[in-house]
Amino acid sequence: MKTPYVLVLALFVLAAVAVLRDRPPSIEETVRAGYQFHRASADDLTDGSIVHLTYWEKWNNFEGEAMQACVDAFNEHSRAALNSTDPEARRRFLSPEGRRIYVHLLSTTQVNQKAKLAVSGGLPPDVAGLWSRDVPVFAQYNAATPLDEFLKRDGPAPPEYQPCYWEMCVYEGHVWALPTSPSTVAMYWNKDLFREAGLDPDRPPRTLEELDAYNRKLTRRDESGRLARMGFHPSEPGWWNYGWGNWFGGAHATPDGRTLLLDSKEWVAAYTWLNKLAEDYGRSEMRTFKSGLGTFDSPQNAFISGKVAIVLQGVWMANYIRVYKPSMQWGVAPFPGPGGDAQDPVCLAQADVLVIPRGCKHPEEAWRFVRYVNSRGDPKDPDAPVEGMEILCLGQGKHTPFRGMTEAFQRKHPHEDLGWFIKLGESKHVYIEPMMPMWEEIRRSCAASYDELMSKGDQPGYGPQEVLTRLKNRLQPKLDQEWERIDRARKAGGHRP
Amino acid sequence: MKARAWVFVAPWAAGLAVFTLFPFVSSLYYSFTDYSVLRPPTPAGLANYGELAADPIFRRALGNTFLYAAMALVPGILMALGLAKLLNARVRGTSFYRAAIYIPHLVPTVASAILWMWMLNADSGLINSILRPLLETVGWKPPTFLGDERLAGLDFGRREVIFGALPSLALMSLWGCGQMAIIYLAKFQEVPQELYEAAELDGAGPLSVFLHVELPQISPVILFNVVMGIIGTFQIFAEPFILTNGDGGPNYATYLVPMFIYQNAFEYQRMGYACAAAWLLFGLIALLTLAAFRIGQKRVYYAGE
Repeated sequence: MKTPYVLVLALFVLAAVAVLRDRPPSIEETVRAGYQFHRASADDLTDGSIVHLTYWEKWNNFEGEAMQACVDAFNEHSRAALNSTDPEARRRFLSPEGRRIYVHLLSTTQVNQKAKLAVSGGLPPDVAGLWSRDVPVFAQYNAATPLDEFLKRDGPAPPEYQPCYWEMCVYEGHVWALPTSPSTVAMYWNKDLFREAGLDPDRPPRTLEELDAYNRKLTRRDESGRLARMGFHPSEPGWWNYGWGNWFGGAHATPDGRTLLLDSKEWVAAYTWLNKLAEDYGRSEMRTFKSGLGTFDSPQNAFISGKVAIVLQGVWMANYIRVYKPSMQWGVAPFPGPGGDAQDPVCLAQADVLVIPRGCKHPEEAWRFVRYVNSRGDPKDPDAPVEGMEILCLGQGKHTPFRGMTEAFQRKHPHEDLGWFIKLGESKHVYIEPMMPMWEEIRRSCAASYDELMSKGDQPGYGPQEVLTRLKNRLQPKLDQEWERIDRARKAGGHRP
Repeated sequence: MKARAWVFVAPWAAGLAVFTLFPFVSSLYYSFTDYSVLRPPTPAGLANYGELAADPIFRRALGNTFLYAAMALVPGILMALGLAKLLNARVRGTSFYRAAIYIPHLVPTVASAILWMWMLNADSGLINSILRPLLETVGWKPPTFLGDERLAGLDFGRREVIFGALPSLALMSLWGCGQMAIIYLAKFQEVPQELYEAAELDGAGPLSVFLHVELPQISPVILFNVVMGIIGTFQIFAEPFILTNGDGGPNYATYLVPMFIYQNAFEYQRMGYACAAAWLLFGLIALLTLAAFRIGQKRVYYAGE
């Protein structure tokens, strides 16, 4: 009587083993560079002379592992420096009093908000890993330590970086952060689907008109008329819906951040194009189609599963294709936004950054760590090892914010089209998020206006110009008030540095 | 003896004072200041309240919150009442049904939000998998749920059934009404048998028994559930936050006052403004609760009165 149950159980175990054995390699296994540094045991760390640094960072998974490798490398350098007679090593990796430094990396969700509150409470971490958009807030509200003095003393110098990433760290003439991993956004296309639609798989669309034409050819409907596949859907993945005007050459605000430019002709052109897309493919149909697309980090990802043939994505996309569909043939090219040209394509750039929160316990030691992350081997030296930033960016499958890279980094890097992402960062038409403290609210409001357009753009009072004018008229008074508050605080002397 | 009692109460009292009373009072003070958390507060008088009155996003959030409360609370109470009535029936497997109806209440918010995200998926979700074949036979399109900023209705021009993001959120809230149903059930079981017998002798039918015997008897519990429901629905945060990735989208369709408070306090550096919104919300909940009690005074039957 028991035999059938035992058989079923045995079959279940066998199936589970087979599934687990055949699972695709994890992203960690595929991407991680394989650096194994000495991770100190608890016994090593009881020595009272060690300076312990707390470092909060947003990453987990393989991206967190990559940063942990970088932290391990720093900790190892600091351990070695203690017994070293090399004054440079001691200066870079030991505290000013010659004590060993040990960095504790803590993966923290909503790290920007938690770091703000920790500064307010007087117990911030020594280093916080934020997004570049947080820099103006932390600078404006006295929540970060200015790095000007450290930089003057120890470097690195701005020319070492691609200018767009350096700009993200500077607010009102002072440097408040240094970049970690950068990102530029490009167009990925699925060569298999191009072939199937009778398009040249090696020739991506080069103009917006071509993109529209390709979209029509690549889009498929099922027998009931529902969208089964789209060539391009502007809401997939939808992470940059606040910035469609940028691709058409528009900016969110004037360079001083005081006047919004959301109703400029470039923004209207962008919204007119989007509205036309919604008109052509059906607002409700596009909504339904979008809701059926899988989550980004899964085999159901719209691009990986072949539901969308062309997407806007960052350098990291290749990591996920490699894991979930290694057989897929794909290419990378600049998005054909009319705000750029063949020589200098238009592009959005962002970066993760490190700040030293104001009021932290060990700012000098924290700087040693931040400086190490912002270092690398000499690109001119063919035997230079992968260090600092390159450990991080190799592990995360990204390029670095620096100009140039070591041979070892190039050789080990898994991304076939890394060059595009580097080149895009150098473009004359690269856009970074506006360096203004109210940016988060503006960003969210712009994304909501995109929703409004795509949902109601065919109704009276909801055309591109009207949606944008309403958006600007709502936000500009808020922005004026924000600046009034900032100017008042400046006059009252509550302003840094 | 009294002193010893205070010693036992002290930890709780200290916790209440530090973690509830102090934030409660200080938030009132901050609501009259310009406070970013990162800089000391500066007095701002009634400026925050004035700005709230003119803020279209706050007004939208407030309107959404009222709509949500109406859409979640009334059907929630009716459904719980109906379920309790069914659970009160003497049939086989009652314990199983009771457990089955209560279990969804125990599912963590995040898990149930993700589950509903799949159910409400316009393309491949469970609900549309049933609706689509039915609607397509008559040439209509099924609703797009969480992707649609409209409320509910029929669009004859586009031949489309509308059931938008906010009603979807309200629909989700019905998932947890088992707890309310169990409270009703407990009260149903307290209704004295002699009242049923008297009603039967008077020739009352099932509807009359429900309306004139059971409903008055369970009315204190209805009032309790209404009050708890008002407090709960006006403070809902986690579900829309998870479902919309913190945006309250599409285009503010699920943007409710608690999310407005959260964003202003922690994302926009406007703690003073957020405190003013929180106090307005508190005032509204207090007023509605008071109104519920006032109405209840006349309509709720308390035995022995």
